[in-house]
Amino acid sequence: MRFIFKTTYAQDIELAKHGGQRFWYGLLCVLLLLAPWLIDEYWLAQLTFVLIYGIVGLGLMLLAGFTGQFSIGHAAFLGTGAYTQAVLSNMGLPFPIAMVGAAALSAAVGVVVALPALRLKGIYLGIATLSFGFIVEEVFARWEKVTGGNAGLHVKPAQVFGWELGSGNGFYFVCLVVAVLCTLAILNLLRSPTGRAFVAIRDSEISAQSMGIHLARYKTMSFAISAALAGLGGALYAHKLSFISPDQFNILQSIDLLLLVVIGGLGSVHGAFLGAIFLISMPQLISLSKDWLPPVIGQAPGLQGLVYGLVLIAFVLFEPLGIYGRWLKVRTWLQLFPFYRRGLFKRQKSFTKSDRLR
Amino acid sequence: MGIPVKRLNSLVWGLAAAVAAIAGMLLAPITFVHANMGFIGLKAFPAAVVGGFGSLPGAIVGGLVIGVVESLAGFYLPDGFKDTAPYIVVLIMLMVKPNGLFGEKLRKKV
Repeated sequence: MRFIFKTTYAQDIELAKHGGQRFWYGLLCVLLLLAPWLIDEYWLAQLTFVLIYGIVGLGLMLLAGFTGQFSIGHAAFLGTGAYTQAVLSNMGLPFPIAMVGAAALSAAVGVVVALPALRLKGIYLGIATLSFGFIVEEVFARWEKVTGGNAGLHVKPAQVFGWELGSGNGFYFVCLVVAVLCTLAILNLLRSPTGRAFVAIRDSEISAQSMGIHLARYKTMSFAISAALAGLGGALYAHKLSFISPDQFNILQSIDLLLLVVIGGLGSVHGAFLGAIFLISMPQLISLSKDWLPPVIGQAPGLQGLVYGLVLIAFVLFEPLGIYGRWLKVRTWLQLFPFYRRGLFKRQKSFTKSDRLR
Repeated sequence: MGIPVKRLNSLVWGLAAAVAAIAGMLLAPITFVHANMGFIGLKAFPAAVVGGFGSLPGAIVGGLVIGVVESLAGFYLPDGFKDTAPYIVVLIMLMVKPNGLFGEKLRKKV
């Protein structure tokens, strides 16, 4: 168990709490920087996808995990970002400017969604965002002049001032930089008054309101930031796949994103990336295990859906705090070695639970 | 108060599934049965929201409204509106009257 002796108030909000964290995150950064030389091309592509989904997950995590607003239509923001990026870069705009455009348009769409969402809670909000997701998907399919309709749209490779990034190493570094910047931005946001207001709204809207938090403004802001991050992720996604079509942004994608944050662990920044790793590696593991399983099970068409469903049910039943919650428990168990009690995390859990149920 | 909560919860789930199964039985002869039929169930949400949760007449009226709007949109409006019309109705409904047509207004206790 590590005890930190605090000598200034600034230490309370430092990003790295102690030297150990600096060391491990530094090591992670070094490994990620060296990744193109350590792993082969295929796994590098998967790592790029993890980073992209991590960015989108960060956005949804801010909305669902920290503000308590569940969105079942997040693929719509992802799609908005992807299509904006595709259209802008096909027009010949440089990559960073197109990305800013994608994030800005997604944020604007997020504000539009937030307006009806301000009065809604729980399942009603879920249905409103779900409806919105369906409508946006239909718009992608029908607005053929811009989006190319169901035939899809080809995206030119990313270009920065005449230097082509392609989709290999160069693009990986772009994703890495964007992911790191987004993570730092979210961490910074969460220790600022705005982030604290988000968490207060999640814990109890009424008490947040009575503390002087303007609910409408903060909810709109949360939606906008979340949508902007999803848009950024979508922009990178468009370049990575270099082909987008409306069925990539359907309800299943939204559910995948929700799965990502729930399995990663609601209410933790780590959870977004852990969930992304899970979401990307799961299909790989299933296809790897197909050779080992007997053909009756291995070749069954719905195997992936079945495994996803089972894993989700298992997580909701046994580990509502997600992968990051499990890691916290393991870490506490190791730190307190003989003294860990089962109920150590119980109180916090039942508190948030009673509050969520209303 | 002596109410067996767990048993009633299971019973309600069972009843809901039974009612949905009856709907499925009625749906099977007039549409195409396939493995991804779950998406049809998503249209039950608009119906319940338009009618208002917690109101039986609301469920019937909501279902009627959604069904009629969908068919009319398919006939009069350009292609593509048929699938989105119910969701547009729901969004408008949620904006104007979040509790639905017949839903009762519940106040949250602090």
